[in-house]
Amino acid sequence: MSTEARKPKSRYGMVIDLDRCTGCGACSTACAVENNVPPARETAGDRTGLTWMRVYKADNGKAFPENRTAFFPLSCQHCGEHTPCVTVCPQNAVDINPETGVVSQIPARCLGCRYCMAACPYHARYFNWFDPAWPEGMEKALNPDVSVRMRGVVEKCNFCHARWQAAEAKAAAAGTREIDPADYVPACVEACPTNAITFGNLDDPGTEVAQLARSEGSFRLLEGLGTDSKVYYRSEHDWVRRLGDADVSQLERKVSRG
Amino acid sequence: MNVTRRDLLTVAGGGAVGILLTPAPWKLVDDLAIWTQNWKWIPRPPRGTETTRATACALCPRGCAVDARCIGGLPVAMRAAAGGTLCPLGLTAHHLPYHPARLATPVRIVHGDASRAVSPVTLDAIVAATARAIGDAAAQERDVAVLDMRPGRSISWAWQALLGAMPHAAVAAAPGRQGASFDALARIAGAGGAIGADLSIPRTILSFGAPLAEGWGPPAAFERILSNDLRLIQVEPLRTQTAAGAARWIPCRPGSEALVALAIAKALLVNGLVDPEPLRAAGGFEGLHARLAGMTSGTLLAATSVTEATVVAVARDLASNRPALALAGEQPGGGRHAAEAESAILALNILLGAFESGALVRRAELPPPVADAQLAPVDELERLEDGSLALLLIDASAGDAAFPWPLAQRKLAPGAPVVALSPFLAGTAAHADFVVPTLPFLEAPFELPSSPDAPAATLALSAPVLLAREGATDPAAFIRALAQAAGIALPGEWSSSEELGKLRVAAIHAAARGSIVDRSATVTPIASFGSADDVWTALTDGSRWIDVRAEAFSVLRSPFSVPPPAPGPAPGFSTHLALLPIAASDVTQSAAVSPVLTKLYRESSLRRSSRTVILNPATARELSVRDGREAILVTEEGKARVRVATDESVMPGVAALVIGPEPEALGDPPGHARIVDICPADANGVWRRGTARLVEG
Repeated sequence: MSTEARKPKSRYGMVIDLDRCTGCGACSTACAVENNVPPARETAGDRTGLTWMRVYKADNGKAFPENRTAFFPLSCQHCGEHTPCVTVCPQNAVDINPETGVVSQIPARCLGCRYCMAACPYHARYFNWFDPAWPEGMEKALNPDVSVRMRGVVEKCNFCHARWQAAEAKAAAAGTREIDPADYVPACVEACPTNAITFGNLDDPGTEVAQLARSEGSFRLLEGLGTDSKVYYRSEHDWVRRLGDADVSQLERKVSRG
Repeated sequence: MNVTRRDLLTVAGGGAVGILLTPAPWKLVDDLAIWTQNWKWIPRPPRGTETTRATACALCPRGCAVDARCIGGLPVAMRAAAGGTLCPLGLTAHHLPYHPARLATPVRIVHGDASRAVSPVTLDAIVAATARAIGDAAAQERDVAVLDMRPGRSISWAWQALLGAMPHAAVAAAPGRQGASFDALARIAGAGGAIGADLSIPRTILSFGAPLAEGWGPPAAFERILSNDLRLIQVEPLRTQTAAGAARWIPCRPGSEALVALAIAKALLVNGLVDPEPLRAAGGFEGLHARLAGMTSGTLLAATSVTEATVVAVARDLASNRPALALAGEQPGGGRHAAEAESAILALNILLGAFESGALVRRAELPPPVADAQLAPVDELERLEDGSLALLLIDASAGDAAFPWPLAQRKLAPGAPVVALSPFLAGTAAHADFVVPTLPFLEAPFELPSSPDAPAATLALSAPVLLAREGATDPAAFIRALAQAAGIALPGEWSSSEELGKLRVAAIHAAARGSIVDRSATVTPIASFGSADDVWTALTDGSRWIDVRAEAFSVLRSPFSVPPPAPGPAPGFSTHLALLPIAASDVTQSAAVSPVLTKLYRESSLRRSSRTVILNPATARELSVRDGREAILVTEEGKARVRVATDESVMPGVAALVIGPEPEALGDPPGHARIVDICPADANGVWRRGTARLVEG
């Protein structure tokens, strides 16, 4: 199949303004609520937890009071041409949605081999080490649009696929194939109190997200790997932009260091 | 034809290879994956018709407008109404009615040294025991107090009415609550009511630790800061999220905020940047001068770690970017500033003309549900006499606050019972002898009076979305039952929170003041509503009543002075660290939080867990404690095992103690005592500037 034939109709992506992110955690929380991501067991830690949208705290490495911090909201980067997790999955449980360009995870096909986790350079995939469990009765507060995943499968951000389906259904009911951008907004974007996350079709040059992605100060994580990811970041600070070239585990080390 | 063993092996091997070329094994693997993902114990989301219910979040005094997305009548998502956003606590509010710490029946708690025994008890027994304690208090001429976690509600008025009939009684506002600093400002200024702030007016804000980026104050204010429309100068010992977003961050030693404020006031006066006359007229000039006497650049630097050059630069910044406002925000985990800091910040506001510009305004009180009733006074808990209380009632029915329990405990006479009203057996209620279960947010109507910093009085209602679970008691019904058992006549005809709320709405309608603003920002004068019931209906549909804005005021009724600094730690208590309790604003507002917040506290390091002490790496090296290891934190109030984290954003010599949700608040089984309880509070009820030592362990 030619590259042109595989090109998705839309290429949804986001631009995260790191200078506006205050690390409030609303995006992580809204994501977990929207996608029925279960709470951690008492024994779970940051290595065994499920955080489709995880906010890392990084610093400029300087001593007090010259120290500066930045918060990095990090979800699946939705790689483009060379998506490592798609390549390695033996079960076809990962694919790129031809309509949206979103890298999808299909839990029902997943065998839990975790090759995709090893392949992902962004550490944005999570394995269900435990049965999903909420306190008794709290299952009545789950989102009926998203299935609960079982122990033994990998899961990750899918740009709130259920919201895209709902928006598409609404558009179809209105007799059009064009989704109203206001109808498809992922939960993290909706929840951000400082409007740090802009979402939309990167291939539509008229959208704010496309303009921001091409503007000065925008960058992608580990751009040198050529994954052509669809999540962009921006900052006016050089030291923050340089973090884009850092291995995500370096961000994690900074976090564990404090 | 002979069939040899070789033939059999060939057929078997060929069959094994051949079967791999058929879909069968792959289908089996697929099916296995699906079967093992659909066990009967996997939680099943609800099914049913989708509806949206307009309400307001009652988990903190801000009362954000919320659309609850419901499936089959059950809320499955909380979304901010158009134009707003919700904090992590608000986004997960629909989980709270199912929280494991939710109380189903009234309970009695017997507190042991390191454990507690909880047993069910009848409501009648609690009412009888409480009425008996009220009678004993009257006989012994001792005090009765109600600790109100959310002052200003109609229920707060009902408590005042109940206690108004007693000779020695007071309603105490919860220490550390949002808005305590504004109340202190009003008290020191002699404003004769509440003081609010209009953060749309100032071009510059000098904030002494007000966590504007962390849920304190209106979100629009921080949006202006990020857009460089509002200049923020943040004075605090940590580089918090607010400090990171500020135009200028001035790190100062914990507890030295008063000196920094005084030094800035001095710089404003000495450099002729402001008119001293308003402060002279307010009667605070002499007090200010007395405290400024002897302050040199050397003493200032030693005491605050702020240089004189920085102070002068800030003074010039404030003078040239007016209107300016100085804020004394309370830390959600550490409470208010000391009285001297609040007085010094008031002096700064007078010098900066914050009252004349309208940045600080006197706000009218909400009308009471019943006029001319005899009411008990409202005071701060710390101002009650130690050992004076024969009975303490805690109203945590609408929320909680994080403060050290010894602060309340020392007000109790020996053997005095503590009765709490709360939906959860967690937070402050866990210290009580009796707990009466009340209904949580989404199961009962909640009144949302003016948010602490609002420039005008407001009233909103949080309409219930879920059916109320049986076994809970309406706080108004409890007050009525208690009055009956104690032989007290209450003013007005009411027996439920809703009836009390309707009486207040009727009083607002009768006064014909202010307007109703609906979800689409349409403003309708209150006089246009035919009846109080129409106003009530509008409020339950998500509208908000907003009073006419009070006029700016400039004349203070009574002179104020800047008090001397409070004494340090007790003699003989050796310390080497300044203890700074810190918490995120949202999680201190509720005794229980959604278990999903483990995403922030346990599954990532975005928010440090409770019992974490954050040190500067240099301080950690000096103390020979290491990042990620455990240590023992010792204060005057006790000691606790903590986890050490190092962070360059913390000032050397400071231990930032995280007062997050305890494991119990996240839904884990009850564990040890709350960490905030070991924070030593001084005689004035201030615990944000304690001292401690950290030892390996």
